[in-house]
Amino acid sequence: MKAMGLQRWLSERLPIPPHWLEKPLKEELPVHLKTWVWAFGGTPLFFFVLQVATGILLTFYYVPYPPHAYESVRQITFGIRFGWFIRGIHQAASQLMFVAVLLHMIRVFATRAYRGPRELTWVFGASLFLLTLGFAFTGYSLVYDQLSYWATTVGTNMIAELPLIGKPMLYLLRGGPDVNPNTLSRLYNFHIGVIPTLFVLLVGMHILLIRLHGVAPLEGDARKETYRFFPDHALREIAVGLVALLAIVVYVILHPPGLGERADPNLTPPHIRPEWYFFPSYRWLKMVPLQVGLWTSVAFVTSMLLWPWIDAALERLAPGRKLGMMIGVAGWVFTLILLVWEAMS
Amino acid sequence: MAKDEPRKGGRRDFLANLALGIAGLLSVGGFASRLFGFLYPVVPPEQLVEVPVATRNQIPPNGGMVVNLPTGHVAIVDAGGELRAFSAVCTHLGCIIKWQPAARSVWFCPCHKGTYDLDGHVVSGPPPRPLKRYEVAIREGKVYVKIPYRPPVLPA
Amino acid sequence: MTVTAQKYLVASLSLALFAALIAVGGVDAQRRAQAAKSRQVALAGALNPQLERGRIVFTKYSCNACHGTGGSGGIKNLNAQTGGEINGLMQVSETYTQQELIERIRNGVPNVDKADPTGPDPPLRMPAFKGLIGGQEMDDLAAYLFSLRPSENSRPPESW
Repeated sequence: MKAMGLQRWLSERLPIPPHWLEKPLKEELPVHLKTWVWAFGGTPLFFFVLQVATGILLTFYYVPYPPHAYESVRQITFGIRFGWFIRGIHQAASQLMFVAVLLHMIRVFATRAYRGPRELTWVFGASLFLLTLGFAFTGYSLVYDQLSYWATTVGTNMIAELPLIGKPMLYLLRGGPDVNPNTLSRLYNFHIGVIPTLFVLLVGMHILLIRLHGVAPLEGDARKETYRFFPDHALREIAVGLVALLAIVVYVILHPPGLGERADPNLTPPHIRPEWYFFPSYRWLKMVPLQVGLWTSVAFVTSMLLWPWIDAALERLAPGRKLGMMIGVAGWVFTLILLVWEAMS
Repeated sequence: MAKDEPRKGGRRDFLANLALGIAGLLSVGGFASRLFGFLYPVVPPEQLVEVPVATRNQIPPNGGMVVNLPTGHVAIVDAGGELRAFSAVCTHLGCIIKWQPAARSVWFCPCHKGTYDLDGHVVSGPPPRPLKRYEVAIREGKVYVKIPYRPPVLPA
Repeated sequence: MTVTAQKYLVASLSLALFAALIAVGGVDAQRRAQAAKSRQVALAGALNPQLERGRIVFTKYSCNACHGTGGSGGIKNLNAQTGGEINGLMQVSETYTQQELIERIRNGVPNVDKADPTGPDPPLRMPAFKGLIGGQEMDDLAAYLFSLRPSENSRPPESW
């Protein structure tokens, strides 16, 4: 009886129409979603939430001021209770989030789920991919050890080479022509303020579009059966998330994070390299003249963003020949080759 | 329609839900405890440590001064030849006192106008307790005071 | 997989996570025992009388007026190549040998490199302390400078 009273009290003050909750919970999903390959959509979101949580915890101790930055990271890694654990999760999850986003993109690409009317979902998704790169770049610059400092210097210098917009972009990123105390503040702000805000907005749009359009039908799959979102699919997503979390936790326990030497602006170490997710463009830019490299990179990113329309145009050009799929796969494979080549040199 | 599970076996359901609930609570509890441990700062224990604060002749007879060190704030006074050292942190709300000899007091706190005498006792104003007294030693013309020192969490 | 089986799967994964979190506690205690031990060692070194003497030399010759309290830097020097400010002294131990440092202090820096070659000369230069600081004072000063590390104590709170 008391429970009934409480329920009534709540529903009087939070007048949520029952069908708001019923509809997503009772939703029937096409059964082709039941394989693990389709779990990669929720996984990046799960990692993002994990990053926000561990990131917020890290901001309790991280100091974004060059003389103190390295020391604060050192405190976190060696002094604070469970600091190594939180930092380790943040590092590991950033790598895994990248992998999860890539796998999700590959799945969407392979199943051509971006076809009209779902092109915008793809555009938002590809933008999220670029934002994830931005997260990785800005986050790595905060450690302020030798590798981090110089990778950031080289990376921001590359941006300056872009024609017309390069220099203004560099000044905006650095807060001045050279690396100065404002540089770290800006990169920090991008990492914890600007990019997360944009990310949340874009994820919201991305998920909203998926809810509005419904799950994309799978080409060539004629099955009409469905299964429930709640509890079947929900439990599946939770299980995948838990496996990922467990993997990260065990990894961090076995390989706690370390710290390189303090950044020295006067001494460039002999072997600087960007993080592995930048290997493809790093290798490409070493292979071709700078301007060619930059323009082709811009073209690559643009075609990735506009892929649904490019694919549709290719389909009209040569119906049934799957030109889009072939070119796309060639692009993915080429990128992979560049990545592995750079990794092995 | 592939529906999972007909509604029989209510006990199986209940057990599964119970297992889920308990396991969930345990892991959430585990995370919560780690989270709290992380946020709560590491506080190394205080130790008494002897530091040089001044030379003997820096403090004239019946004179006094406040010395601010990275390791603490010390108020020293020459009370008729005898050197006394106190914590220069006002016991009211933590401001640093000043040497300001007056009729009945020698130390003055600018924040709420508390005053203390040569023994560190409160003469007037809001401070609730006398100044903490520190041990003084004089060696080779230098004044050493034993102050509480909290080492940094991580040595450089 | 039936829903019940899925629930048990999620439950076991959560239990495994719980176990891992217990392990985290153990690993953490180990790591910080290390830190506590080196705290004791450092404490012995931190109150080295020579460092205290060196600190007194540092203020006696007004080094702090240009290089900041405890060598924290931050005093402006227009168009200086050291970022428009007089450099701090937190990385002396990583930049100089004892001899190089002593030479530097004795000779000073008569010409400060310009950040912008076409811009004005930086107004502040380091004087030569040859003849002013020597012997025991110089040794103590060098020891003090070598002990400087960036830490919470080196920046006065107002500069935030």
